[in-house]
Amino acid sequence: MAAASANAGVAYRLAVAWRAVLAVGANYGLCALAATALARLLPLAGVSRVEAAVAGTLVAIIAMPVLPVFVFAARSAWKPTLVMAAGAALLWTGAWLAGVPA
Amino acid sequence: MNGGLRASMSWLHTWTGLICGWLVFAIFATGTATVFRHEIEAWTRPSLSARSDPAVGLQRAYDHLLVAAPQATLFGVQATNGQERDMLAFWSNLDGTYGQADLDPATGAPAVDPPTGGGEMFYRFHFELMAPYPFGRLAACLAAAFFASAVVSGVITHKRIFSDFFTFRPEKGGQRAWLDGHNVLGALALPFHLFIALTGIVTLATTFMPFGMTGAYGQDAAAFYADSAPETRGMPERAGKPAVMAPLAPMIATAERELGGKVGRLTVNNPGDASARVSLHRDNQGRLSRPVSGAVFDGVSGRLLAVSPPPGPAMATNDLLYGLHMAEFAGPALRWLYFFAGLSGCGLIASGLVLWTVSRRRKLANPAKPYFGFRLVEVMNVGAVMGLPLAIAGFFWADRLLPAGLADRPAVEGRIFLATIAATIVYSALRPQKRAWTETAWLAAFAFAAIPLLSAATGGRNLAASLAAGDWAMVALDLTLVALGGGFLFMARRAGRVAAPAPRRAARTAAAE
Repeated sequence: MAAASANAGVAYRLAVAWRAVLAVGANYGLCALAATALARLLPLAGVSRVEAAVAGTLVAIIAMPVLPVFVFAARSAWKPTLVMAAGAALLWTGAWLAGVPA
Repeated sequence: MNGGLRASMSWLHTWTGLICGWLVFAIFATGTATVFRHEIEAWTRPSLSARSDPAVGLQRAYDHLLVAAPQATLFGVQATNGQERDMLAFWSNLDGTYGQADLDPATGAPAVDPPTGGGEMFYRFHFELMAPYPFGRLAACLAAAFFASAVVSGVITHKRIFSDFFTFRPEKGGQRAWLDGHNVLGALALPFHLFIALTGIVTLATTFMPFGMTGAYGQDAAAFYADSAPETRGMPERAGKPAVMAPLAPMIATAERELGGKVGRLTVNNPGDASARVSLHRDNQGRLSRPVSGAVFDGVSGRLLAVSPPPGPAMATNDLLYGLHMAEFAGPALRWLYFFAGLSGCGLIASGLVLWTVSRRRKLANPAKPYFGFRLVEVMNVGAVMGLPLAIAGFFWADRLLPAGLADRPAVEGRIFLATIAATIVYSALRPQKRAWTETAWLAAFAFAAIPLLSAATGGRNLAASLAAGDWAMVALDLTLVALGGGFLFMARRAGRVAAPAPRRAARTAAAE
């Protein structure tokens, strides 16, 4: 990244650090929320509990390595921040409304 | 980020690759060795013979354990198959203690060879890194996730992925050759690298990503495991009334009929008690999925009680991914493919790590005194890329040379394995970079190539005897170790040549004149 190293000021470094937080920490949290939401919502559609649990886990594992690509590909760090926050809010609401299936 | 998609992906690829590189190399190297884990297991126990009938072996183990572990509340035995020669047995006792042993299928009693970590050591290190539970497993999963990210961003960076197949220009030397090599290795087995990382996480999903389980079951993990293997549900409490166990052979015959294949695993709950249950699970031969179907019997009457139902679509997918990672289904040809794909992964990671230093060395202000981060990567590259092979060879040496009666022998083997990696890192820090590569490569060449000689000289597996007996698995293992030695010899000579290119070129020019 020749262009980047030229303007490697504090702002640039902070932006990279923030993206790293999104790509590692927020990524894991979002995947965990996706697993939880699917595991709770799928039983409402008639899927058995064990099937829902495994399906949620698999989706989370497949999404995890792809999210960092999205985080670092975006032109501005704002975009992944907002998209991931919105996704987390949606998944959290879904998981919370559904509750642990009986 | 600045500079467009490919530039940002190149940045992501470089740094995710560097962060996880050394750990993933260790995981790949030991995973590649684990492909032949049962052959290594047999190599370290020369008393075990090549042929045994799994059903007969299970019967002997059953008879042996009923007598040898009378306090057991549970015991399990893994049957032999075409690859395995020992039967791994474990049991848990009334007082909460555990035991395990390697049983000889010919007798049902523990193998007479000195205790050893065997192939099991590489297998365990591959996903636990000899770290306490659950930290080793979590670190392995995190490394796998980083690696998968590095693969995805690497593919986006190299949009000419198809032409990379045919682009290897070693004559260009230096950075171009390393990049070509890295691309060829990456493109060659790309689907393997991605799926082996992802399926590796799947095998540890309940540790690394338990939120599917807790989402659906809350804190009741036991209910999740019961739903995952419904045939094991409703195991009765210990009755406290001694009872004579039913013979195993008729139960095996019934199980093989019900499950449509050979039995590979035996589990007994409450052995020797009126409430005893015998579970027989299928082996993995001829199918990709791993967690296999089973049949549960009343241990006293021998009556069939339950057979596992077919899994749902999500569980079947999970079992398939699990099975693809473990490769227990694979015959010799496919396992060689896993082995070579694993080696290509090692080469991919090693060349990527080297490339990081090669592309930065030219830009160093003073190449004789590089900055700390650069030197750290140089030292760790040799430490990981040469330390792991040396440690693997070191295990074979330790297994042959440690006294048979040594206390805690398998643990000492493990400590020697780790100490060899640590010693390589220290050595690499003390030597100039190119010398460190060349000298450790020479040592690795010798350490691998000499193993068959060492083994024959110390009463272990003997290449000539294996050839005479037609024991091709042991012949192949010995020859593979020699071939690995040959590979490191080639590497040592290459590294030595790269270290001094100028005089050679001068000599060639002189000769041409």
